[in-house]
Amino acid sequence: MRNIYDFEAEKPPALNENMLRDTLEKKRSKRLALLLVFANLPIYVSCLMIASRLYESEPMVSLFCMAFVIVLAVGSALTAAIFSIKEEKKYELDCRA
Amino acid sequence: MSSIAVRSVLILAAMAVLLAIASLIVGLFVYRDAKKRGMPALRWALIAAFFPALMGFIIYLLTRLPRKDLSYTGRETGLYAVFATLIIIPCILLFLSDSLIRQRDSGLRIRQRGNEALTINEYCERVDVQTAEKVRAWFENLPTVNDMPFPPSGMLRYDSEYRGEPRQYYLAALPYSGRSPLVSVDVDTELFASCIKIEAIHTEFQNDSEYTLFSFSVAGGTPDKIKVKVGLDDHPSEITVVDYNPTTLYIVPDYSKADPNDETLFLPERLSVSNCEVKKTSGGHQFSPVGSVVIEDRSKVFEILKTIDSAETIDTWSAIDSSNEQDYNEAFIITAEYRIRPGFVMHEDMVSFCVRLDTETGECIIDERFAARFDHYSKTSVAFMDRLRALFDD
Repeated sequence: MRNIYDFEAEKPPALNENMLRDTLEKKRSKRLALLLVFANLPIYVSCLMIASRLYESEPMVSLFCMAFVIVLAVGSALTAAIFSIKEEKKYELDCRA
Repeated sequence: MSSIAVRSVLILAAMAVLLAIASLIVGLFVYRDAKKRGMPALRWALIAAFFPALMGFIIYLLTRLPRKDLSYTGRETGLYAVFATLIIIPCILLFLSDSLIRQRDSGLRIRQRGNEALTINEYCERVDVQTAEKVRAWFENLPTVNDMPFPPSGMLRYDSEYRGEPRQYYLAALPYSGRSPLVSVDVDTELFASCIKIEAIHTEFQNDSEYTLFSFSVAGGTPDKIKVKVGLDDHPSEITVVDYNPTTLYIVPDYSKADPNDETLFLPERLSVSNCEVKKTSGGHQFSPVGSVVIEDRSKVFEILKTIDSAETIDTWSAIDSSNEQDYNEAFIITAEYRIRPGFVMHEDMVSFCVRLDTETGECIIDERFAARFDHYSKTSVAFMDRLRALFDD
């Protein structure tokens, strides 16, 4: 029977235990990173609550807390954007290679 | 540096320390982990510690190299410390903000307040001539409201005490309050300070350039701060301590220390004594007046008031426990009415409630003047009860 696909054309990738362990660890790290994103939320919430509670009696502290939350949010958004752009470029380079 | 600025700096310093601890723990974990993975440890530790919202840490986790040593099992106990820190520190921050801001029981309470804010002329009609002259002289020296956008609220304060409890009587001049503003005064919450807040709302917008005068008294301590808000504007308060009562409020003296021969002694216009039947109900006791006697003789009024004020205070909770267990069979309600303005006889401040208990505590007075302080039980004598009974025999 004539084969419709040449199974000998491509060699299978080399696979060993270390590569499998690396893949597992990368997946684990991604899960941890996602957890950390959510772990940030209590700090945001606590700073915003302190800002609202101290708004009348300690305006300076309230202002600092709000500025801190804004800096955290903007900074983390910028960092995430820059990182994802760099990763995308790296991925494209890897694909071309 | 003002005390407010010092407090703010202390709070900010405490928050900065807590956040620095979190960054330090994250940085330490990344430093040790990066070293084991052959990555530039210090650089990554600084990135993880100082990038906002743990982004540096997240990026490190996503880009770190695999570990090569054979002893690595994939478990990272240091991460548990990091997560624990990230949960504990916000909880500490929330606990601090809640426990420090929650209404502190400073012991202050507003004891009396004027029914309305008065113009200077209305005020002078209500008080005696000497007080009116002194207050008018002070009033005329207040800054003209037209010259300052937010003039201070001048205040006169008279310090007094009653049976060991400090009391202050305040006369506040409220700027830009118009005529007959609605005024509320209450104990307010503030971090590290007990304060009183006065709020005035305009009811008329004519005559807006004048001050209006408002009287109130505070018991249980001296407030650290008095905040005045007229409409939407905050005005700082400037307090002057005086040696006379500048308010339109009356000060009931401690009759146990008063001189009965003093003609200026502030005594009630009349004292009403009601004899009551007592019935025990599921919720406590029910008092039904069955007879009433009015006493207008100054000496008799003074004797009764002196006995009440001289009575020794007893432990409230043991008295309450005893009263709930025992049956009363007799009670008297004594009401004092003061003439505070011509043609006006009313005093809701002094209502003394006399109860007889068939317990070890004996005859006991429940003085409604001190109900908020929870020390309003005092012990009197059988002779006093007999004297009250004798009023009804006559």
